[in-house]
Amino acid sequence: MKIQSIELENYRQYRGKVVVDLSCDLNKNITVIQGVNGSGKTNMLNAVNWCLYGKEEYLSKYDTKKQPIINDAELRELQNGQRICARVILKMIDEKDNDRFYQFERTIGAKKDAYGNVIFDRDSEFHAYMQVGRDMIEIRETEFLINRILPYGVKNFFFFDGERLDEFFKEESSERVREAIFDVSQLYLLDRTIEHLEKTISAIRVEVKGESPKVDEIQEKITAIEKGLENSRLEKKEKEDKLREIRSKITEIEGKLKQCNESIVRTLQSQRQNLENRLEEIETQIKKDKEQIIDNILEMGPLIYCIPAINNAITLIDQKAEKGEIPPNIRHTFVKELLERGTCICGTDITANDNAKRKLKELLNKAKISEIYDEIIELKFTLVPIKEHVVKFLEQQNSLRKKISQLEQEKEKINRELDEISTKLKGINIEEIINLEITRNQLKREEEGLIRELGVLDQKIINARMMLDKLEKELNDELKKSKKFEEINAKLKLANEIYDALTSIRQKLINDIRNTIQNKTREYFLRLIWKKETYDTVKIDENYGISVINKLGSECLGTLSAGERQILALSFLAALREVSGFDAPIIIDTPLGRISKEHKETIANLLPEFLKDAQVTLFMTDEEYTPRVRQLLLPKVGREYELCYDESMSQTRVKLYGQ
Amino acid sequence: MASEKYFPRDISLDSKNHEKFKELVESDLARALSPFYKKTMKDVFMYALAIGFFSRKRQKLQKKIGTIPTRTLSPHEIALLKAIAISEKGSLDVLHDENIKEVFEIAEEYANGGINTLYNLVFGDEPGDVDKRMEQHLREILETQLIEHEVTLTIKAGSKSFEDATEGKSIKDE
Repeated sequence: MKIQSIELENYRQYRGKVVVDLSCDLNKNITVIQGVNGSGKTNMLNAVNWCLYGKEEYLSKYDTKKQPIINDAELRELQNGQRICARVILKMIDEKDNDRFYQFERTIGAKKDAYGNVIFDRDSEFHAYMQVGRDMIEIRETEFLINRILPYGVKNFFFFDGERLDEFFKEESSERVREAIFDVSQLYLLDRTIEHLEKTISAIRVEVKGESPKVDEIQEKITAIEKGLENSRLEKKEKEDKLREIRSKITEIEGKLKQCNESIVRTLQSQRQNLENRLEEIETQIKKDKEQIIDNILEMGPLIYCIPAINNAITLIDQKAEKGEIPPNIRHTFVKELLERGTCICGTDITANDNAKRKLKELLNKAKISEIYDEIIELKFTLVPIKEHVVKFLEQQNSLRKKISQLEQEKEKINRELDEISTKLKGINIEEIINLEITRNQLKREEEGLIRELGVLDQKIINARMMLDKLEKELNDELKKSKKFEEINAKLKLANEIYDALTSIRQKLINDIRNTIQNKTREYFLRLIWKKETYDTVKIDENYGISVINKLGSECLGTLSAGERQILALSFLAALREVSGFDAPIIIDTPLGRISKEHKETIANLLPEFLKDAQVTLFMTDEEYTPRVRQLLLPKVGREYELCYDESMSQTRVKLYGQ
Repeated sequence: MASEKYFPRDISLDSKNHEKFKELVESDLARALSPFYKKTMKDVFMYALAIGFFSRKRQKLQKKIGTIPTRTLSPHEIALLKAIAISEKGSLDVLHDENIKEVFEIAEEYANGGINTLYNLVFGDEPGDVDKRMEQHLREILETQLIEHEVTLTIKAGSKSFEDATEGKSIKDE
């Protein structure tokens, strides 16, 4: 699926009608749209998003004037009583479906009333058209059509802000990774079926009401717990939404502090950002080290307690060797065969010679050890290294505990420094800064409170689920006692079996998808990263924590540079895109925004190979689209544009690059 | 070499202690306190067995429940079980195919004898973190009984030291 053109009409800084044709040539699959900061690159990405989903989610830090959605100049010139509208039209083509053509249009209007006030329409209007044969027909089920092309939950892996990629794996990445994997899994149908089945099971249970006091009692308990569970789930969702909202506000405040005109504020905010990043790395490291301490205890504990047994076994084996019993000089099977045959190798008839028979039997007894000789040797070679391994236990634990103690000290120091930064910010004599800092601190406190409340809710949900399992078992036992409940019991049994099967299928699917995404992320990352000798693998664990392991076996996500983190995020997004199965165009705003000069060219060199199978549109600043970067990308660039913003006209013009 | 086909399919626990094994792995209390939380029953079994052996508590199982598949034991863990059986019998004969079941029976009985001590160690009311207490026992064994990396432990001495430790006499919290 490709975007043929983006048409903008009076949309934000695009005054009048502006058409941008994107390259649909697979050999030259990249379109570059270059413009200085504030020229309208991010708003063009917003236009695509707004057209398809009715939302403008990409914030430009340079759009400080907060332009209205309808062009500012056009609104100013509008006569009282007149109407005007902003429109975005996307023309798309699906070359895998016989070049089927699609057109999406979103329009929003505004009117100037008799007093000169601009009144915007409450809702935008959306139309979707699809080619059927030679005709274009309007599709009323727009949501269905959009979901077929690129569902909202998945679009962030296709349209994204390069500068934010760097942040993808910085804070609480496991939640983002989990959400991304769930979104890409598209298990909504399965989720709805499971939900429906839960209701069906409740409905079946109600059928036995009034039949037995004991059954009724259990039923009542189950209903009460289910109600509580439902409430906890709703409460959890509300709190999660609230948490997201708070975090977004914090990010917004921090963005403002970072771009403040006062250099001291910018410096303090930047210092705070670095300290908070380090704090997170420390906390992750402490958690891992504590887990390692426990793993060591559980692994080495049994060995240490059993050292006497290990010693005794080794001593016994050594004694056998000293006595010359091992290695055995005669095989047990050989003597056994002689006795069975009744004739010795010298020709003596053993059956008639009691002395020979007795001697051979003694020999047979001695030779029995030959049956287990290999095992004895293997056992000794396993036990001896265990003893040597055990000795390292204290050293390992001491070193881990020392490391944790140092990290805790560093954590305390950072917390003190963070308090000092906040005090300094509140001491700056600018009201806006003081208010921002106070609000930020309040939001941070709310954030901490919400995280704790969510932890309690999670525990409540787990407990309720466990209690339900127990009561369901009790109910089943009770229903089994009476014949009249046979049919209901059978229904319940079947429904529960289906429920268990579906939940386990769901879990298996999610695990499979997680594994596939992990493997693909690793494959892309190791192919693209420049320090090939440094990194060994990328892992996504059961809790969706992502880690990059170096060749020495240590986790090093926290020490990746911005450029390396960007490669990791690009690799992860590429894996998600591939697993999602959607063949949608890719649009990246400021792909090289956070990359240091030395790695800009490396990434520019890798991008065409990385994104070779899709239509790609890159919005780049002049600092990103340097002559060298352009030279590297050019063989794959089908179209190049330049955005020029004219402040006096509140208007951006789009021209071919270099003209 | 004793073929694995002579190993029992499952390792058994005593039905009266089964819940204790389970609680150490998956109860609410385990979530808060137990280092075995989210680990496996096999991990608890190995630890209980080792404590049982160290403190010479071997208890026959009254009613067996087979809950831990033998195939989940690693080669090192199997070696440890064999070492315990050899040490117990004072002979290597226990490694013969026809005797190998005894290796597992001895292990089951020591685990059965050690589970209560382990359970109390994890869920008991002694102050401090459980992992620190568990580590402290191991430290004491190693520090007092390893001389220049040479293990000179005797079962008797080890047993005495452990009993003192579990009574809380020598537990130091870091």
